[in-house]
Amino acid sequence: MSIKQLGGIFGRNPTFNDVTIDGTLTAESGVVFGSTGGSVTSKTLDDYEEGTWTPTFNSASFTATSVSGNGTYTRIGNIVHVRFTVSFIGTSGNFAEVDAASIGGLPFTVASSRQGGGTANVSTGYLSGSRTTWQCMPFNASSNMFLGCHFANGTIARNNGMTGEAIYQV
Amino acid sequence: MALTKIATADKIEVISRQKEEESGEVVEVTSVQVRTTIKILEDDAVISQSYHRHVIQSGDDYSSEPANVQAVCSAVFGG
Repeated sequence: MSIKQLGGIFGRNPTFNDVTIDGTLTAESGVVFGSTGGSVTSKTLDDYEEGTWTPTFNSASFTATSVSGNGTYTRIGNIVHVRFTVSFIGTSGNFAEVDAASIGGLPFTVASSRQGGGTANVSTGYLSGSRTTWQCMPFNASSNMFLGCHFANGTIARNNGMTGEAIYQV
Repeated sequence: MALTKIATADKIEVISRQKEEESGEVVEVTSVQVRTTIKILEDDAVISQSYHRHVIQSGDDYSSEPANVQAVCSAVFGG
């Protein structure tokens, strides 16, 4: 790694007008944006991470067979964005408006809140021509953290599975 | 040329959050957040690395977790 100084003066507390880094920059304690002043925690980007997680599926409304899932996440500061797909190919019947489901296995603890910790956009029908949606929210119950979902409306086979994304605070 | 895959739970965090129940009661919710780093090595040189995450909560079965994760879970949840 090299730092090319295009402005300012090297010293005990050097100020750089422009910095070019050939390679990666490691900031072990985070990056503070703007003028600090007082507590800087609200101006510090102290976490960024990308990875995978394994969504799990549970429903009291129907029995899903051959359940499998995969998901990815990106965390930026205290916000987590997740994407996922859950398949249960071979499950019989159609989704009904009374159907409820939960997607577990979230990669980070959801900030606890009585009203849930974020928003989600989940749909069904990526394998078929007709698509419909679920109404979901990230929750952190006392011993169970999940996306709580209710099927919105429409007629579509359950074997279409679920796919979606969610954003929540940690 | 020898390829090796190594999975290590390298970041174990105890997370406590306050949660307001529907009754209005505020309860403490504690969970153990685990990051697993998956490395692919070629002749001991890392050629690929990725992260996988999951969260363990009270009541979850953590008997299949690595020893370092089990130790933290035992301390947090008891048992």
